[in-house]
Amino acid sequence: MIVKMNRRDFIKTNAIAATAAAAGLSVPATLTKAAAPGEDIRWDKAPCRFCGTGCSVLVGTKDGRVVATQGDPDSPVNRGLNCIKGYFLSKIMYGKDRLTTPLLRKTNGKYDKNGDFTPVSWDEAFDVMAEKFKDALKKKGPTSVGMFGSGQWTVWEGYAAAKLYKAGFRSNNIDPNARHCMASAVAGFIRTFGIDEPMGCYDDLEHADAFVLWGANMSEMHPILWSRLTDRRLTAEHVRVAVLSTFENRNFELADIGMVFKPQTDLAILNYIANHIISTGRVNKDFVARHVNIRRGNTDIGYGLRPSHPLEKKAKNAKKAKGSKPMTFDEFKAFVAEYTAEKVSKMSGVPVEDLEALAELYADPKRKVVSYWTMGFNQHSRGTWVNNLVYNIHLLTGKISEPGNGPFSLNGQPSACGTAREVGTFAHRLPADLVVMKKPHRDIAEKIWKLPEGTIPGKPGYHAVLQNRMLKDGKLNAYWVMCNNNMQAAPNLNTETYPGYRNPENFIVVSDPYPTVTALSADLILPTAMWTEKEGAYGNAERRTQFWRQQVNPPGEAQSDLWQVIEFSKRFKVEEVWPADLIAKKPEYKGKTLYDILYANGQVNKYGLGEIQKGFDNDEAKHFGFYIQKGLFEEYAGFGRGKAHDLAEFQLYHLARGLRWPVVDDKETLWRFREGFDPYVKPGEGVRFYGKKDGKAIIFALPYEPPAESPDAEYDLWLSTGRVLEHWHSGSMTRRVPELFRAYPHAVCYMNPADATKRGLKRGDEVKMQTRRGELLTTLETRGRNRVPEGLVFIPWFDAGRLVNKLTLDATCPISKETDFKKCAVKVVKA
Amino acid sequence: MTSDKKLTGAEEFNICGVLVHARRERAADVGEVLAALPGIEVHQRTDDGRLIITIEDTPQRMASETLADIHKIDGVLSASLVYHQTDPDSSMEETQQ
Repeated sequence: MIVKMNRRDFIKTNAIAATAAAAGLSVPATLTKAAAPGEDIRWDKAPCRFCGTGCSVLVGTKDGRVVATQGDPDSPVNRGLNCIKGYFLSKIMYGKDRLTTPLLRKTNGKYDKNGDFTPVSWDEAFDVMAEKFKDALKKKGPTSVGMFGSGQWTVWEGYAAAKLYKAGFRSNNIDPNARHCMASAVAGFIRTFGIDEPMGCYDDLEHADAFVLWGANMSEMHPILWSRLTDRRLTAEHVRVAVLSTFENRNFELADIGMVFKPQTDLAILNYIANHIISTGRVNKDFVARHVNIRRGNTDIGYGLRPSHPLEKKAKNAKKAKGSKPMTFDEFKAFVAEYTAEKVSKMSGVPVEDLEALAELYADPKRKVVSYWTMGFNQHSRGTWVNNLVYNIHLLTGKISEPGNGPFSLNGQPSACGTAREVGTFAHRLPADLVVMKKPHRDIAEKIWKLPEGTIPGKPGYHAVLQNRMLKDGKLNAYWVMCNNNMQAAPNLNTETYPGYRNPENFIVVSDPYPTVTALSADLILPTAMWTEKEGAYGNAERRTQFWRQQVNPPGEAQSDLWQVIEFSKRFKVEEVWPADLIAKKPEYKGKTLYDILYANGQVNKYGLGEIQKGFDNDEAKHFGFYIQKGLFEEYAGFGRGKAHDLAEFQLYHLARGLRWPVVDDKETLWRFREGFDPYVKPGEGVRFYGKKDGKAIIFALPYEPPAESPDAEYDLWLSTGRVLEHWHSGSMTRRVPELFRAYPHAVCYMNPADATKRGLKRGDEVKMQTRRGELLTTLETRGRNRVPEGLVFIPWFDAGRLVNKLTLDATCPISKETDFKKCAVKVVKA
Repeated sequence: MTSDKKLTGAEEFNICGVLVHARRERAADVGEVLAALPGIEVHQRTDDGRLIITIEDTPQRMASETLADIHKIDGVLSASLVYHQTDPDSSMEETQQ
């Protein structure tokens, strides 16, 4: 049959056919006929560029441009579906203000910190940059150079950067923006289980009888997982959903138990649940006896502010925040006994019956329950504690590490796990959960990296918030920001971030595809290739590592972060960065560059260009002359293989729709620590939390403590910041999509109508939001998707024109060093 | 469609294939509401509340905006994008299959 149709009908036909297929429905025969021949579009898989769910997307390329996307029907994560962000994917690379050449601040043809951005060659950019880095290293040593990286880096970009800093420059001052989003989850996992990342996986969504959202707006931020959760709720009558938040969001529409609690009282609610489980006799005693130790954590640990801050001076254990002592079960029972339903109801504002219904979901031995959380938990001045406390209730009941039972931290970034955490791009970490503080760990890294003993420094570097403080104080002087927008994202912008970037002593480099506020605050901007303009790998929240191939070419002179890091390493002779006594331990390195030592080391440059898939570009491999992504990946995988962090052989990931580590004998692991699922648990052991030497996880006794700043007579409202569906994070990509910009152009302040009336304000008014640190003008919104309670206002942080972090406080969890972006005191007045 | 260009400044046209999940008992109503929205065509509806629709740009709204609006319709549980293509606006060009 010949169907004559115009182009638009033809595309529509493809759209219908794909959608019907994803729904498992048959397609009308006429459509199949028309759709089958396809267009001259090349389709290939790639993980989505946005959140940590890790959906696989089929990317359609035509004439060197991404023109179409389709949910990957073979992906176990999204099963042929995409959320609205799939729509943005084919547009984010084509914003009108894409950077295509390096830009250096210059006056009269020479670098000048107060000059204007002027196009320069890569050679000139790297010449000036290398001079500044060498100058800093010479004057003040390795602690004066640093880098702020990303949970959006590909695995090999993060690995190459961490290696350049920790091994090359011998500086641990590298930290990822994941510090702002995942650090509390990391600290919680390490503290309780001794090993990072969730034990379960997304398959829990089809096995659980109850879901509890602790500060996660899944319906807007993780819509694909939310659709799987919704399916489970609607197809199994007995399933229950509890949603906890400090304001009502879209998730409440599906909630059987919806509770709005007062900020910070999640600590008390978690302790109440533990108390309820114990006092109603529902502790899984056998599980606790065999698999759990109990410890009392230090209290009064401060707020991660500058040591000179009165709150830090006052805090008894500010310097011993991580400390803990053993305690007995009876002592723990007595510890949580004070958190009664009545008391916690008063503290939290949640009715007693709701608290009891929630606690019963956990206590009922017949009910399988999954806890989900994102920034509500992690961005918390007691972020590590809330993570520990939710593990307590899963450990008390033994509801963990099996299908449908477990705690699960969701991710905001596509490779917060795969890159930031697994590669170890934090100031204290090395790959595969090794840390710089432990000599045996440094020894392992130095051996794999073929470095002389003593190369990697043993002191943790500056973490995210500390980097900004050290820039301001002039101790960190040569600084590279890559794949993030930290001027907009970091807290307390006026006081702590901006002054450091513009400090005359400092040289700031920002690599980005777009002129973000961070880029515009820098001295040198480097144009960056993004997403499918390069070959890449991401690791999602369920330990799934996924690869993609380069689909298109970057514009102009833009280069990937990988190219930038490795090309820059060629500018340093080892004599310029290492002391003579260190080089003397490896005389063969004399006269070599960091590139020779770190990347042309016989391992990273081991694989030839012949292994690259025919028909696809790989710009970096061609430039360096070897399959650099494979070399970096295989060297990196050497850290975790046989150590419960096993990754499969490189090529397997190009074939699979991702694999969840540990991957042993090419088989992925769905539930860790449980015999029969996890190859690291031996027959007969049942459950073993092998991250701890004795195989036991830890229940921590930790109390409620107040936040760093609460509303008072003058600053009388809670301020919470966050995201909206339309814009991803700082909006540096999504605000380049014209229709998205139009749909949600500016950040608005969500306020309860009663609070507005009290202040003589009405919807649509221009208002001024003021804190002790700064102010901004915005529009008041009293309706819409976010219904805030009296006493709290919410504003999203995507808007470069309304920099919300002028308002926030740089208080962090003292253990994880992650900022609490959800709680400070603000006043709102008519502008 | 010069009006599209006027609206967005972009010389392109968007077509989406979307799977909508509606509450079973509301699915027929949801189908009617969707069909009445400019830019939406409903192609299939199942007894268990699933609808196969396409969304196109209209002079007033881009496909992405319409897609976002679907979430606000009473009875809609989720709307998942399955297929999206951006094309130069060449609706007059004919392809033979």
